[in-house]
Amino acid sequence: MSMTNDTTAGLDPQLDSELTQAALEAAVPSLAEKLKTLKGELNQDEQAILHSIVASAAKHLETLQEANDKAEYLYLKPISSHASGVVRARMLALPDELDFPYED
Amino acid sequence: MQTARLEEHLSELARGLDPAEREDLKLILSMAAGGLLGGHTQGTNTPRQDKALSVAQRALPLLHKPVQTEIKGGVVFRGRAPFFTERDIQALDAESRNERARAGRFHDHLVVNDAPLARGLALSSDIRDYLESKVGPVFATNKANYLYYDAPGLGIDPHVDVDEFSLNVLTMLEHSGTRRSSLMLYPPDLPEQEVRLEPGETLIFMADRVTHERIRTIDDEKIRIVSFGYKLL
Repeated sequence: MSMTNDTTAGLDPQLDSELTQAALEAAVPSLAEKLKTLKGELNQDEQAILHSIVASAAKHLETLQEANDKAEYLYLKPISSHASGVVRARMLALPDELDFPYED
Repeated sequence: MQTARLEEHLSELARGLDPAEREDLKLILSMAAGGLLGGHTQGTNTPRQDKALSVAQRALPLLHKPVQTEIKGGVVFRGRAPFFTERDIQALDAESRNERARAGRFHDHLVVNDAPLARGLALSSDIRDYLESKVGPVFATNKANYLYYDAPGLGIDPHVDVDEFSLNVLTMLEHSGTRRSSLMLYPPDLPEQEVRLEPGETLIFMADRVTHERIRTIDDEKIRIVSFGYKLL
């Protein structure tokens, strides 16, 4: 590729739109409702796996957040650059909100 | 215990989500995968947690539109990229070295995201045309990062990338000293892949579907990478 190549792919502002933190925060409750509906459609074994996913996600988030509390630098990329404090807090509450009768 | 029905339920759920809900579900699945791949469970998963890991990894690609061709293990290409000349690589290498002084600590690695040459190349039609020949339509997001892992302990834990880096074109510029660190890919249903690129070598992979990790550097190890982001359409 020539360094002077000027045949570049132009940016389309509509395609370049990024999700806002406000949209991601607002989406957690509606996603939780949809997960509750999904839970009702699953058998017991499938519910246990879904619970394990949600609980593991919360536990991992919590672990990374604890690391952040002690860290010189924030430890965000594994959490996702999109995830604000509000999103993370709501994710941590998700296992209780979905009310699975399991321990993981 | 069969998990196919649960994966199908998650896929169906994903089809009914708006983009923000889908991104939040992606966060849940990627966090679960990260934790179960050696995060809080430290690799000692119960059988149920192994199932959960498998479902999370298999469900992540289901959140996205399928690509036109099957990409085994999420790797589209590895080798000397046909769209880069030797001069391109040398120019990127020089810019990366020059920009190091102003690299910002971003999480647990160092980044420069606004270098002019890299951002210009990221919009090149040569790269876009190549990618589209492999995976179908893509959008050049104008995201180009120089990454530096040049102190002991730098790396990134298992994660998936945001949509702006759904297709990651990653080129190694320097890997010197004790060459221990590697990029680990954890594709569903396949063995993990350890990728240790040589300078000048490029890896193109589906970064929003395959959980991946940069193993932490040790001692005198120094790594410089340039990474271009593309969004699959």
